[in-house]
Amino acid sequence: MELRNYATKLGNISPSHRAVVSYLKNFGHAVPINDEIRKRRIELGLEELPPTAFKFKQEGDDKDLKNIEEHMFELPPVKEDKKEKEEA
Amino acid sequence: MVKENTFAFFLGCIMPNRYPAIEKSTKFVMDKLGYKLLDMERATCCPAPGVFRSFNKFDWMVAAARNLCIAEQLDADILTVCNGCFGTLQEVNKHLKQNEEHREMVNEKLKLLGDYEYKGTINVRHIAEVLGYEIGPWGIEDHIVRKVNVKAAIHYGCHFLKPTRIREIESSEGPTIIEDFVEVLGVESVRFKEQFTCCGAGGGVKAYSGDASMTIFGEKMKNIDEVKPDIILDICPFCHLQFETGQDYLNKNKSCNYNYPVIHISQLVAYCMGMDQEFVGLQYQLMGQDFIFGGEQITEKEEAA
Repeated sequence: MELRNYATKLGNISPSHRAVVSYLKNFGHAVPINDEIRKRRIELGLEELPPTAFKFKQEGDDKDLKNIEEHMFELPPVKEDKKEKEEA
Repeated sequence: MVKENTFAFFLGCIMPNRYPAIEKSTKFVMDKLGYKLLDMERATCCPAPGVFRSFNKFDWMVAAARNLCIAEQLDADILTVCNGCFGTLQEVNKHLKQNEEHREMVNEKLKLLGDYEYKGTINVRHIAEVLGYEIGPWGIEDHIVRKVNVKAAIHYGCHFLKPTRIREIESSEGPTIIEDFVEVLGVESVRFKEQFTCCGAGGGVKAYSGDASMTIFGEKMKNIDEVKPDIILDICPFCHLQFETGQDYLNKNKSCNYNYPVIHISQLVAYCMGMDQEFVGLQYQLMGQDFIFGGEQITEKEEAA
């Protein structure tokens, strides 16, 4: 685990895993909700949005996710050589 | 001292955002069993052990501790229906209770996230363990109104039992907690080869490499298909997602023809306790949309006996 953490510090992170981290920062979830599931939740008699951090952000209170974005899981930028490969 | 018969209901990601019928079923079951489920407002991803711990173990602990603090503020133990959430929250909770140095470090960083201080006052529970040990097969019988009549391939997943020295639930080599519990619901467990291996989703594999994930999953499905169950029964929404989308992938790309309904334990128990099948939600799933649980209604005579 320490080795994997060290590799992350060096920027060795797959683009798909970077995306998962960005989902956490933007939505508070590694798997964000979508329109189809919002509708389904209502059909099942549940609240359209679960009462998690994302719901509060939608209602204009984004302090939780802002704090997480600012202070948590800071990843180094994509390495130049990897950027070229990913763009190719 | 936490509140009795009350849980802080930790939703996680996949259940509320992909399979809300599991959420509906869990609420139905716990209400019928006399438990109160409290909303954990402002909770986030647990965060998932495969991806987030591997990037930054300390931040993973801090983010988990933030969720634990929300439950502490409610004076309630956490209930989760997900193996990954259980893995993260139970492990971090146990570690921080025992390690004062890390607890102080985590609390220092928690100040940056809001009004949070981890105290170590609650426990983290998985629904399979609550049903299996706290309610038990002896206790659920009084609450069910019908039994199904199905053969199930039971998938335990990884984080519910492993690592056993941290979970302290049951051996991961030959567990029977789920089999023992669901037998009274009319479920016959069919053993299959390599039953206790990973479904191929966790550990960050599904997000990183679809091919590797499907190779592992393809083997799992081959072994399940050999014993021809009526359903696949799981205790984790991420495994659930893998069994759903994985069968679809294998059908479309590997000339397979699978259509095994994938049922989370909450969905099964809710049905047996009287919830309409409409709310069990199979019509929303990819596999086994037309599957009817059927089974037998428990008559008043039987109930009296």
